[in-house]
Amino acid sequence: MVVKYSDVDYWVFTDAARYITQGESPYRRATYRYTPLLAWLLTPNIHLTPVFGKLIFIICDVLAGYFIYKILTLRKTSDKTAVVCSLLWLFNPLPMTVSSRGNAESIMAMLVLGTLYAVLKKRTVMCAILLAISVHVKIYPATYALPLYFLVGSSGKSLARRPIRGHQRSIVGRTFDLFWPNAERLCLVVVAASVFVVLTGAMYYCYGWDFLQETYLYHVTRRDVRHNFSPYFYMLYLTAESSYSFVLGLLAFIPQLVLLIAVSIQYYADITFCCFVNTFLFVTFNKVCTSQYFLWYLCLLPLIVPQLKMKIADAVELTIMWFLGQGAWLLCAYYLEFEGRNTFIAIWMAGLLFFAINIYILHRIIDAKREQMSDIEGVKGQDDSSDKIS
Amino acid sequence: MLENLFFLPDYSIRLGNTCSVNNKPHIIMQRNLLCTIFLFLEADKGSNSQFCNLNLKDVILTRNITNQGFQRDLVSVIEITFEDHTPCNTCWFMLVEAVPRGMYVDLDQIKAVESFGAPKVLSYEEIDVEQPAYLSPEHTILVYSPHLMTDSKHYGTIHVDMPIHLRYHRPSRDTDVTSALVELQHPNVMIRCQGSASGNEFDLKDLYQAPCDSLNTSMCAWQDLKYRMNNGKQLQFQVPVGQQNHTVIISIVTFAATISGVLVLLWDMHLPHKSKIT
Repeated sequence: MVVKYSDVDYWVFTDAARYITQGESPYRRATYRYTPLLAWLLTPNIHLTPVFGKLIFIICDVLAGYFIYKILTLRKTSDKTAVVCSLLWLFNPLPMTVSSRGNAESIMAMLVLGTLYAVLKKRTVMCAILLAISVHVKIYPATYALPLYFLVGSSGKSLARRPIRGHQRSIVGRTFDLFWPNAERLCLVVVAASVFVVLTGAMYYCYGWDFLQETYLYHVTRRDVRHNFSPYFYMLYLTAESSYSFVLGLLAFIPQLVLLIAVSIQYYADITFCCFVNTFLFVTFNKVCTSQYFLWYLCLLPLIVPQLKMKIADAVELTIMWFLGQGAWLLCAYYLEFEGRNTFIAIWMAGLLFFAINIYILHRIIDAKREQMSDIEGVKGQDDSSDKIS
Repeated sequence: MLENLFFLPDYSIRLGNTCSVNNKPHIIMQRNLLCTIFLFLEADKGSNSQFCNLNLKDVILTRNITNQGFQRDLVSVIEITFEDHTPCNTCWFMLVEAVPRGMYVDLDQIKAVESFGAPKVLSYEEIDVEQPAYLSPEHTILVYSPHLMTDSKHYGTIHVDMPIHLRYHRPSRDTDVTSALVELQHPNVMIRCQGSASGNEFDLKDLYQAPCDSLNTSMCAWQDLKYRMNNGKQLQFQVPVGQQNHTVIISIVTFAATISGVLVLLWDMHLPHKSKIT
């Protein structure tokens, strides 16, 4: 019995690869909205076997799990914990299904985790290269650029830690220090920018305006107002033809931007935590949110799990709330899409509920982080005070 | 509706040398006497077999929609009765559907499920599956059914089951109106048959030239059938729409929610650490 298992996207990639083998632009395939590199990578789908792409995605999946393990060992978690956390990704049914159905999300997971691994090994150039490739493939890793920039040039002292003694620069002063370029930071910026420009330039040279339009501009000026998880969906649908549409779209960027900058400044020293929160924020506050987006922060979740000062019961409770929020939205959307009932208001409210649940989850995670940092400072304080005494 | 085809851009009547059997990039549906005769002269050489006139006594078309919501299935059943002892042995049907703005057919989806029984569809234009109705044009598509064997029979039935989708429509300005209406006109049903002879006499005026199959590699003569509808009226679809007068309240509440989210998180991040120094 033949089962329709593969995702639509996989056929899109394969068709685009076929156009490339015929010497044409992959953008002749409607809805192909990725870098041409992906279609190039999948050309063996035509020559060798149609499942070549899926094999690549699955290999990237496994590599992502490996990076999780390596990053955690670098951060001095016990070997056993590191293995368990990487199993959280490797044996997680969601990425398994996604990759085997032919979505390319695992490539992003591997690239992003590789970038973090490189920065933790203090390989700034490698980090910059991987960051540039990641951003070339999908825009969202650009949110990691700021915390990575802060991290590579800092001497490791977090801005958020209150020094126990000694006089310190003001908040403004410390923020200024963060932005101030030094050798490492310049290296990161120059290498990343060059690689990105070379890649984008090469693709533009090959495929022209189509490439820019489909790979980047479409995602930024996206006007698809069909229902999705974002709290903004109904508002954007209702205002799609009004003169306010453009302004509202821009306004919706502001919460994202403000939070991304604030989080990057506050938590850059714990880069894995910072990137997880940045991605979670980006997805939660985005104007469009589909299930694919959740994988973006799912691959970073195993990295923060060991250090999260949260009882297992609490974590389970939050996970259940997240799934319930999803479920409520999916139920309302089912009635609209497959039963033809007018559930727009219900979907909007379910979207707001899901948004509120995500905010609450983030609130609990930040709380746990604060506890962890108090612990660290408490230990250091004790060390300091014991130093003083002796 | 075929007359409409004549007047849409690129579907113009062309006389003269446009009757060749090369693949032209645009539909040529022409009712041109010269053309049809020319086609017959061509037909003896090359891939097109002789047009065989299946002398039809009755053609009944039944149209149904299954499912609700935005994803539907359009089921067309064509029942024909014809004379015994016809020289025609194989017949193909083609439906010419005028897909309205409020609806679309996902060409890639149909191609992907061809092996699961979907018909083969030919469209000369790209169909954008993501646009709302008010930004989409109408489309005309050719839907090719599987063939029907007609020797030693006097009736036949053809099922064409095609997935269709409804587009998002403009929000309504009237609180009493909660859905938009999409109407699907009756299709043109065309037939072409192959056989050992050309059968009964037929009126060349009823013949049109169109691609033989969805691969569009050759042109054939097709006969436009006059049929009876089994269940009368045009197919209608209701599509739920949003309410325009919700806009202000929705915008305010949405932004209030997102701004509150920002404030909550900012406050959270900048709370003083619970110091554990003793």
